[in-house]
Amino acid sequence: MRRLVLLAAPLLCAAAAIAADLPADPAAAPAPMSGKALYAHWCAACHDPGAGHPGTLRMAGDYGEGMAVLLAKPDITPDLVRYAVRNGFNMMPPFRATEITDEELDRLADYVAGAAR
Amino acid sequence: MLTRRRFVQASTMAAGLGLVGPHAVWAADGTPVALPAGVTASVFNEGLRAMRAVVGNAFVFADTENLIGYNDHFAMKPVEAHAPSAAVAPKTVAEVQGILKIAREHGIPLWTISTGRNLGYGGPAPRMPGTIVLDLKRMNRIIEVNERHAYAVVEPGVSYTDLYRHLRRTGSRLWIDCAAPGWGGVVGNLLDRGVGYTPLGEHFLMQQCGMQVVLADGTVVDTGLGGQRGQSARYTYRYGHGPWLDGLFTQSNYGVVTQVGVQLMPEPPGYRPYMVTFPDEDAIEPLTDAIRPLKLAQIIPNAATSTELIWEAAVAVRKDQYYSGDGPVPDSARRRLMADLGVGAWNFYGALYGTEEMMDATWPVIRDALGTIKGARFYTAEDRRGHAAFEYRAKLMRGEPNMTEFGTVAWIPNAAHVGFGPVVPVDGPLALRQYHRARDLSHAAGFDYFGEFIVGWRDMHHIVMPAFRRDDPEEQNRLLALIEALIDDAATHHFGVYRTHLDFMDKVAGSFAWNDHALARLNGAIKEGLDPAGILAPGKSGIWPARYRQEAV
Repeated sequence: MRRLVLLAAPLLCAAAAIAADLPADPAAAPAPMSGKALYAHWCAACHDPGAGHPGTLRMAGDYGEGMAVLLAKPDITPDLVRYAVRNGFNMMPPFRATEITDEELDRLADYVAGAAR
Repeated sequence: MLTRRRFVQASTMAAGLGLVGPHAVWAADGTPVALPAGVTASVFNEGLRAMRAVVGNAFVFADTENLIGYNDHFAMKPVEAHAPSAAVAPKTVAEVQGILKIAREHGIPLWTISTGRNLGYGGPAPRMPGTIVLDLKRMNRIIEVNERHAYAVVEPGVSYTDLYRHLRRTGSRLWIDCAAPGWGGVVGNLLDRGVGYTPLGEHFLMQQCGMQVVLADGTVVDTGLGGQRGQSARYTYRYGHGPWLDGLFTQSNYGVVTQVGVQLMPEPPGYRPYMVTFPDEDAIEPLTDAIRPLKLAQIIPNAATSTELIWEAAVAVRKDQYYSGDGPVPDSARRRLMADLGVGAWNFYGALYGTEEMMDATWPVIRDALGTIKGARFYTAEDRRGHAAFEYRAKLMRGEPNMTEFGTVAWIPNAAHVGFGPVVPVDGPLALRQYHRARDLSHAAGFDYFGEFIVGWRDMHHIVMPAFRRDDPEEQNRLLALIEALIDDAATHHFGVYRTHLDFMDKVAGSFAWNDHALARLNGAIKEGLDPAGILAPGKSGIWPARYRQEAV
């Protein structure tokens, strides 16, 4: 069986979106990125509010319009974020440790889970 | 040990939420189930130990939790069909050489990926189960950006987003050309001969200039003018002296590309994206014929797109908002989609680049040509402000990565998609025939027709990407049968497929059969010459080394 049904979990997509606190050059061994910067780098283009964000579009269908924006969803835990990133969730593919390290994933998970609190 | 993943699994299942873990590729005793064919467990483990000594323990992945990320998340078959046994992630060319040496000595096959984001074609997964993934994501240096001559030199781990942000942060006036979605790799997409949407949209033709390749025997080769040290024209003239070899390393398994020169576009003084909609379902024929002379003369300079209604709609709305039944969206719902979104059955996106005077002069030529087509309606960026489809197209045509097009898999719940990409000349009747066949076969199989034509220069990539449920094996089997039927139909009507998913590589390669498969025999001879041990990407594009030829289907 391959189905993953996790009713309370978010869709986390990778993404673009420019954020002011991104490091100068991600390819040049920069200082560690904050959870917010990691969200902006990997998640925002799919999960930010508004049109053109596929994660938000899908979550509106799965959970309702009021639960479509990842950072505004109140039932996200760090473990759910870690799980979804490493295993994928529905249309969202997993992200490898060569893309998001375990340490980065901890910061990202804390940021995403804490955003709605 | 209770890992986080098992904790979440256990707690969620206890709550009755039906969480089911992904496929395991390791048996309970820790033995990999999916060993490479012909490799014993002891030799495999010895090879992994040696690879750990090269890249460090942290960058050899051989546990179920980390290998999940190397499966094909959009698989149509059970993931075991393409499950790797391990992954290894070097940081340097020297480490790549070290891994290849171990692979040769132990007879262990490797499958090279750059960013591993070509979902719809297999993602990071290998063609042959058990193959170790050679993950180049950590090789992510932007080695050079040359503003004067408009190029960059990058390693395979650099994504479009990375390069785009680097250029913007450093104040560069250069544009990249990116695929959609933007999480893909600059090198990987170019090597798979992918396309984008600016005037440099045909990536291999318009951008590639000079490669560094590690051959299976460990030799490092710089192609083109790179064969001579210190060449000032290395990234501005692509051919060098003698045979031009770079194409050999695209869609192939002849070497590991570790660096590529990528020619970029200087930011133009002006940019005007536009959209033209056509209500008639068969408008693709007159539209294509109207585009051809404009493309040949480069009055339309960019890789423009003719996008069909469902693709256009799916980045903005979900299917169940318009139709909750089985099968493709019916005509009544299609009419509502067109009315609500203000789009056509076909939607053409192009852009003008240059000075205001140049664009003012060009626009009437385009408007007059496309305006002859029944029902044509013209839109500018101002007209379409707030429309998701226009806004992401406008970004793509100026090389700004974004993820909006991934919304095509938000069309239905828990969806994936797979790519079928026949090429066609910029020829109206041929485009119409290809569209009709793809649409009719898709509908007969119960799927929406998801299609667009990307108009490169003298050819069009007809991209068909049907969305399917990841949790419905019956639907997955229907989709497999549909893609096979599409490939057969394309071959029957003399349309070649430019790129395909892991599951169809042998079939597509087999369709290039002229003169007793002469092309395949040549590909095989090159493979034997460059990689006699057969360690590099067995089965890529249907090219198998002798030792694995029995794996072909």
